[in-house]
Amino acid sequence: MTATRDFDWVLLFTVAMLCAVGLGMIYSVFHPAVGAGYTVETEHLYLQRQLLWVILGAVALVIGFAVPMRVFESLAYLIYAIGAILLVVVLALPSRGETQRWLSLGPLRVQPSEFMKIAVIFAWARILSGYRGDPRRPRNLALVGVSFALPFLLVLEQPDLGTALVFLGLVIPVLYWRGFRGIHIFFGLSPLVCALLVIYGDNVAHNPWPFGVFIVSVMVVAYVRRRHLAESVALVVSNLGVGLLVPILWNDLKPYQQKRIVNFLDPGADKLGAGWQVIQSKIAIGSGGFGGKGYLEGTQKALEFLPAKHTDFIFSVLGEELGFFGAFIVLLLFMVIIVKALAIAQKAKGEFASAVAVGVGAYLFFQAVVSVAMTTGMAPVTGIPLPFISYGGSSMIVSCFLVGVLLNCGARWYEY
Amino acid sequence: MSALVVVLFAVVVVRLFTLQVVRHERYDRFARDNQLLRERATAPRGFLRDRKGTPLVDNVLHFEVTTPWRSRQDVETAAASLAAYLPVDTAKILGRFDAWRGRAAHVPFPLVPDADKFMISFVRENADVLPPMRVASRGRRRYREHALAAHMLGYVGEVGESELAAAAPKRYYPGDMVGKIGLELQCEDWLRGEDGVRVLEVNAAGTVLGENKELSAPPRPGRDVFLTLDVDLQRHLEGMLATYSAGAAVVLDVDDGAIIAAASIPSYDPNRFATGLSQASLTALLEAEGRPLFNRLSQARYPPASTFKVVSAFAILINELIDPGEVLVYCTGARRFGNRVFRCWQEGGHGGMNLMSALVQSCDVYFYRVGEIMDADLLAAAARAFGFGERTGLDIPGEMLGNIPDREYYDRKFGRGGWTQGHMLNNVIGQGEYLTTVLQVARMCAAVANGGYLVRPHFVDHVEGEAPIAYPKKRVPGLDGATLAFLRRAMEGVVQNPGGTAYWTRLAWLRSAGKTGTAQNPHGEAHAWYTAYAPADAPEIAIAILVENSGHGGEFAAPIARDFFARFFESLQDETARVERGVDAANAVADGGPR
Repeated sequence: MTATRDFDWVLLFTVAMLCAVGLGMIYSVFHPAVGAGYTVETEHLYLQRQLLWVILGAVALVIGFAVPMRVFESLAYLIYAIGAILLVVVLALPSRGETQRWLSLGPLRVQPSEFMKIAVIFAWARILSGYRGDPRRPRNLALVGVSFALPFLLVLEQPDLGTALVFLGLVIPVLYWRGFRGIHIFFGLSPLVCALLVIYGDNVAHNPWPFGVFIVSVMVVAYVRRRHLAESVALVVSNLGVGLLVPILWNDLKPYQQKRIVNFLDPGADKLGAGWQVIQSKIAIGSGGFGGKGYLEGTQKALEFLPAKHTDFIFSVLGEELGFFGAFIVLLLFMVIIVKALAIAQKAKGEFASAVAVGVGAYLFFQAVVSVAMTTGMAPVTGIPLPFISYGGSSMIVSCFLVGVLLNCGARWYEY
Repeated sequence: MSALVVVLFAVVVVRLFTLQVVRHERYDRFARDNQLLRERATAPRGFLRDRKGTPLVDNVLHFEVTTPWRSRQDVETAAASLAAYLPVDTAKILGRFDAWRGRAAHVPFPLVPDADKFMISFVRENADVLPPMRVASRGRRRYREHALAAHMLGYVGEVGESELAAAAPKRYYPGDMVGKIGLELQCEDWLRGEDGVRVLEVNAAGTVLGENKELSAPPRPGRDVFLTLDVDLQRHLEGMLATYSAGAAVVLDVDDGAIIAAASIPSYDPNRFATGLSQASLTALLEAEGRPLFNRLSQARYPPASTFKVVSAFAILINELIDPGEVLVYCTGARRFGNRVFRCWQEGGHGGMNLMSALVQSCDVYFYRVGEIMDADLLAAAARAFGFGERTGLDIPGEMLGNIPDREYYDRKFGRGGWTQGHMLNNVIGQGEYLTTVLQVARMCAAVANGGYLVRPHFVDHVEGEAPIAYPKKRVPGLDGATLAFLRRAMEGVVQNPGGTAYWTRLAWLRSAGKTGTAQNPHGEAHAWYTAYAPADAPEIAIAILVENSGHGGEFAAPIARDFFARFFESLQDETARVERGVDAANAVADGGPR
């Protein structure tokens, strides 16, 4: 049983610690319930439910660990198909409020976009592994592109720009890991970055510098790589084209669509809504100081400010009560998991397993960093939960399952 | 890759360190000392101004009583505490709360949206014993000229469920006032502005310490809209029209379609809507004598009567149906067609008539003869060329198209072959199935005046801080050269020739051109029509007037145009007089002055 010998107990323990922190924070958010507008039942309700999610997460983790990787590999496309169908279904169902993210299964509400993250990791790992899995082959690149674009666009349509960008955060590390060149990733991303910079410059910063600096650096890159003339020309032309086209397309958008994008780029602009959350979140975290106000002693959580304080904004309660010290420890725990994920990817002999390990690491990294950056006002406000800590079943089960798969890759690193 | 991961984590950690250690003091002060309260800072609505900048519609301050409480039970308690002393309808407040709840979670609920001074002082004096309440002020719409141009300006009202659902999120909250009709609706996006947020620091006792400027975002006020209307001329026009019970009139700048004055009588006071109108009063207003809410300028359809002879003549000329110089009929006051007798308005008859004299004297018998040979589609095409049967593009919503009866229309109505040329006899004199708005007739007149262009009538000249809006115009195909000159000479003859139907309304110092009309009305006296432009040789403005149930156009509508022209060109008259005097004086000097 080599698998047992190489089992990464540290990784499992780290995840368990994060889950425990999450349970503690969720209890704290609703404590004391009375006086903050909640009943005593609410105080326990969320804790009990989260406990259930942790238990289900543990089950998912065991499944992820126990099932051989080659089974995941052979089922990869099927899982992807199921995930894609669920995403279509959730869009087709009548809207519930402003966005359509959840699918009701009896008493449970699941977010297909969360499960889709598992599906894409498996699908890309399969496409890019084996002797034909070179990401530079046009066929593979096209497959990855299509399997990326489908969930990206469907989630964008919900609309959930944040989650859609998670898919971007997943595909790039996986491609890079499998041998796609960084410079080509830059090529692929540059028009998107360019578009965002044009919009940012026109509507938020009100000056042309962001776009100007970017286009100059694009030209420098093109000049440095002038021996690859076709590529360089394509790079410059596509970026200039985007720079010219975006302002025209922008005027065709409806005012509320424009506003949504501007709010994404500059949450402070919407001071009644997202901007208000960020301000309050910064006050909560900042007032925590180095040592924090003490567990259950937070004052800002009791105010009406954060509608998502037990989910997307849980890190602000954590920062307030546990301070810089506690927040740093939590970030350190995440870093341990991600560094371990990369180490497992190095070690694993199977190309599929190796790519999956990178995908899992990218998933946890992206979610953790964006979630913390959002609560500290560095990133746009989007519906991205903090893995293992935020309240919510879909995120917990998906994260735990992926950790199980990661442990699986690590323990059976010798398998092809 | 590991290095990148560590770097990005380090960035986040540095950020946390900045917030939690470096800037800790500042955030701690926010968190410890004061609770922050935020409320919506409503953007003041832009004004509607006339062409000289005089405000027609502005805002006045009014007061509301709000409560920060947000549960239904609490709101009920708060309402009941007021109801115990003041005439307050608790059920109505709860009804509004139900609509409000969930939509505007961040703003205090307006318990009493319109508080009088008793309410204000009661709430202020008893603040210590009442549930938490605040007196807040906000702007209310004021229509300074009351009923003046009411149909054009429109009014605001409380935003409805459907408008809330259709608007972008967070744009409107229940209780907001939005443009409901007229220019208030048309210009909503300009007038509205963008709400801001006021962040107040509140101490533990609930006392407001002041505004936190750093966190607040001031509202962006709505922009003023400058109209083409001239309030003095508008008052003059409405005053003249108001001597009758119902009617409409409009004055256009012939070159660009700017509306200088526009009236619909009877009118109403939009201030009643701005202060909130009960359903019963609204119904009463809707059904009141003369239907005052009805915009007779662009929403009422009338037979154009003899003003339409301009179009019929145009159809004759461009299709070369009849030689305009030919004396086609000898009018004896009636003409027989089949077994029906069609009567001329001039019972004694006009005598021998060619196209020119038939237009000047508005001879029906001449046009009956034309109707006998006029094809339905030819006339319809001429009418369409003059912009009938289509919206003029007026910038207030709800314009009527009118009706153009072509062959297809009759085939549909009576079945193929089920109709006779007899319809055309009435159509050529504008008494058949043709229906037009007063605005369309004014535009037709402007097209003759400006050399053959259909202008787009409009009220909005420009928006504060922007260049004047350019309004397109289009050519009336065929309305040029000899045809145009003929129609202009004919219309001038109506006023300037002794036989003309509006001859008695001529001004000695100003040549104008026009066309009268008298729309037979089975329900009572005829509607009087008149459309005209002036000066005849270099036209500046065009006017169209309809007076319901009065009588002949030349008798009742034309004098209104004369008086309006007199007022409008008053300065011109003075100028002319001065120049003439000046010339005389100069001549006197030249002739007999000392050398």
